Amino acid sequence: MAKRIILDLDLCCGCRSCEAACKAAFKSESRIKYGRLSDIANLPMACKHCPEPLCQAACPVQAIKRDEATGLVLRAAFICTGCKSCMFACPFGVIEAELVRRVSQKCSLCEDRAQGPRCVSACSSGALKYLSEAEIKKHEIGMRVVSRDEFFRRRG
Amino acid sequence: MIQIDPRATTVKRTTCTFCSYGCELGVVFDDLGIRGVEYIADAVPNAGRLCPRGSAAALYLNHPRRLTLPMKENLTVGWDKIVKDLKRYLKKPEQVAVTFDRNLTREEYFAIMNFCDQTGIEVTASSYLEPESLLSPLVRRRQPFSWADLDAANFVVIVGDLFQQAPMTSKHIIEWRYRDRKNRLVVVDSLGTYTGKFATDFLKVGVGYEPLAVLGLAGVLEPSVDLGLPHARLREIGDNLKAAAAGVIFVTLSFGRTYDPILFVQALKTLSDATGKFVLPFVEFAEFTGQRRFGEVLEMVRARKIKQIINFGEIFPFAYPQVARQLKGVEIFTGAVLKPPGLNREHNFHNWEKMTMLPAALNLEKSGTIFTSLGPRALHSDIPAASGAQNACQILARFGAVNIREQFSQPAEFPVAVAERIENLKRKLSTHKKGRYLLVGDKAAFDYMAFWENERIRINPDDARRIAVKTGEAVVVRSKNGEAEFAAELSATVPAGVLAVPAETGRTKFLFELEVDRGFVNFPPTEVELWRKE
Repeated sequence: MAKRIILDLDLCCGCRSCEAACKAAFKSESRIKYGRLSDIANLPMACKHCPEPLCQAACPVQAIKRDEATGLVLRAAFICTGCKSCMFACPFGVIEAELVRRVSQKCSLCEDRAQGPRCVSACSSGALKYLSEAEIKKHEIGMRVVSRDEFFRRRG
Repeated sequence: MIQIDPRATTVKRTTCTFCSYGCELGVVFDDLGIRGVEYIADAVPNAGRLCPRGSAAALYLNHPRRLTLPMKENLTVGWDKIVKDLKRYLKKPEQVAVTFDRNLTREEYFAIMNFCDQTGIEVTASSYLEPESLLSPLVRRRQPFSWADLDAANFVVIVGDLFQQAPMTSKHIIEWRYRDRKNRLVVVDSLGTYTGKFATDFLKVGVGYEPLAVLGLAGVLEPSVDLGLPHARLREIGDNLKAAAAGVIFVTLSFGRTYDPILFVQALKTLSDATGKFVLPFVEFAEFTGQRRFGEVLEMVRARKIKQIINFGEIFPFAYPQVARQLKGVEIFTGAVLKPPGLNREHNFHNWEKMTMLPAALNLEKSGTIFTSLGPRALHSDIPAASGAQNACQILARFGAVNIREQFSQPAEFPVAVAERIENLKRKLSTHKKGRYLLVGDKAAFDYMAFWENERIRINPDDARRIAVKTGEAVVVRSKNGEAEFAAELSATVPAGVLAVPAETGRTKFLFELEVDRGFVNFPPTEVELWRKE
């Protein structure tokens, strides 16, 4: 599996730097969606680049395709008609409902940038990380969630 | 597929000056000009991280309303005409005031002060009107600060929403907080914040009570003052701060949040002196003070002593309609990075056309030094100034040789009657009318100049239920100064009866009242009416 964006929600300081970085790069397209769990947490949500993407299956014009080599699910802006089928199909709700320039807003993990996604680079508190599967296992991300003690949850 | 040559883009380094952290960032240029922002991994001190203000740098530099030629009455004016007019006015320097906001380097500030000396202008003042400018002198109390100071500390007090004001501090402070279970983080604020979520002790006080809570931590607050918090708890925290081997007091202060900024600053000094720990403000960089205060300039305008104002830096002071109204009849020459939006004309904020606007360079486009919370910082911008935009030194060079000899001047200090101010504050807090809402400013990095999102208003869910409004629906807020429409955002972080708006744009700032205290201009929390837009 290629590298993926991982969110450590316990470190998120709610500054929305990730969203601003995304909008700055993609001309006001917000490809990282920003969820608000009441007042408990602000949740930056990026595309998971699923192995079997439902957005791809739903797209009537084949504008979304999965690159088997990199594992990226990419949308071709020239082909997209802005029908919002992908938005309804996405089980994670990360495709923004609002259209910008009449096309859907789909994360490409900043494939144009060698250093990885801009949202991860911009993240002010270090809550977003760009990690490979091996690194995810090594850091046991997700394991700490089971701890009820916020001290241990938040220790990096 | 056609591959575009990556060498067609270049990344030029500069320093973000939108707060006092001083992050380094890259601006990407291609053949057509500015393309975006780049996050440089080896940048100091932010290691490539950038908050929403930094990410907006390209939008600001490349804004469609960027002023590139001097303008008056919606017409382009030649620099010769401006210089001729100014030289005529400078024959009577006693009628001229020179003001400056934060969009200046130290060298520009020195050049302006020396120019005033040479021409005999005695009235100089900062036109940066946010209360946080009062905190700037505290930065000088201990310099330079490095994050090693935090590593050595085991007790931190944060007053205000630091993670929104300077998000770059969050990584250091969160890491410090969870390095050792004994590290204690105390946050004082009147709204629920993310900074508070990381605290060991979150002291949530009523709007306007922050200075009293700080005095409570210092152990000098009378027991009769009701803060909604046990005084014993404040004293216990204050005693532990004093006993801590090393500690830091971080401070930030939003527009429209405090009734008495002078008391606020005095309370911080008292806490610092009582505990032996230093105060480090993270504010929008505002180091320059001049010899007077802006409130005194307004007073002189009313007395018809001042007839012309030359303002360097940015146009912001004249975007406050409360201020602009008091400047009628004064001829204004002001630096402006952006042309004022049409919105201001709709609200009849100010007669923009009468003002002479001089295209100003942003600090992002300058070389020189600035003063950040982490110490003096060289800018060394690789970015050329926008076509036609000039810095203060370039403008002053039209009047002769520019002298950048260091020159700081401070307005005279005055004794602060703390007890009297506490009584006044208690009186103000008790006169809040039932049934009216209290509008407060909320400084969030993402709301900077509404570059990323239109302003939203945070409403307590109980209040929202009362006026039958849901998140995203439009509400109207009316104060004495006029009314404005916002999208509502329901949030229990805001106490009942309080409305929080991002105080970063003229669309929100005009709603607040203006008070002048000892020459300091303040915009306190303001009573407003609220209803759902039908």
